[in-house]
Amino acid sequence: MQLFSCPFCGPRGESEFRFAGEFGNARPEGATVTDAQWSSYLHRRSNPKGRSAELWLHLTCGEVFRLDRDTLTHVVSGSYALGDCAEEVQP
Amino acid sequence: MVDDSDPKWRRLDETARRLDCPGLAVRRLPGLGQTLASGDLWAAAARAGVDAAGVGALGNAQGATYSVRLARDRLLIVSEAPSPLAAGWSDDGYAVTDVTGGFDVFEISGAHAADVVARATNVPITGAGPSAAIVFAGILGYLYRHGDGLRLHVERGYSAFIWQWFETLVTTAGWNED
Repeated sequence: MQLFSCPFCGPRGESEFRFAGEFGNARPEGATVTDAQWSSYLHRRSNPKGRSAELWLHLTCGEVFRLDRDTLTHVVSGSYALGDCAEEVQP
Repeated sequence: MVDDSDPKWRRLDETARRLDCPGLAVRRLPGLGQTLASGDLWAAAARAGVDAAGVGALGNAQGATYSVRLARDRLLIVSEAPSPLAAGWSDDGYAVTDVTGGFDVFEISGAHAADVVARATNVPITGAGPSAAIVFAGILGYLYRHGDGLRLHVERGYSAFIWQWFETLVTTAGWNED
């Protein structure tokens, strides 16, 4: 079983976690949002092969966090609590 | 086609309070007050007179009133007396919910208590982590030490399942006293 690291709880088995989407896919806000922007938010993912920044949910404690991992090798390179400057860390 | 007509576990016998086998005792603990505090845990803990950090998985809780950390912004306050916090929103920045009826509490004691944890969890729990929330026998539970044993909180709806899991364990484990 692969171990993921919850920023709050620490290392736990992968079955305690659920993928929650691509990191950085911010919901467009405001009255001027175009159809193309909304469509991109809903449907267009970068789906990288290799290093990837993702949102994951730790089902046990409810923490939503950023997990950096390699989609090819499954190697996890980091996990960050949201708000801990996670947006500025490059995968 | 899967036949789901048979129940997957038996109805809980509400009079059942204790299971024993050599080196292990499991008890249901009635009457413990449980209060969930969310938000500003430091303010809530100060008001309740408990530790704001709370105990994590396999951490040591002491006394009749103590706190268990469930998540970054959530604390479970356990007390033998009625809850020290009033339910509702506090202007100090936290919300309080009485969850006494929401969770059943089990005490696991004896020389084989650690073996029970090993069977119920899929990764080694080393040291007292920040959160007491773990997956125990496939369901969400809150596990910590108290006195000479362990205490496990599970959602009330899973009481019948977890009791049957303990029953199966004590009848098949084949453990000795030591």
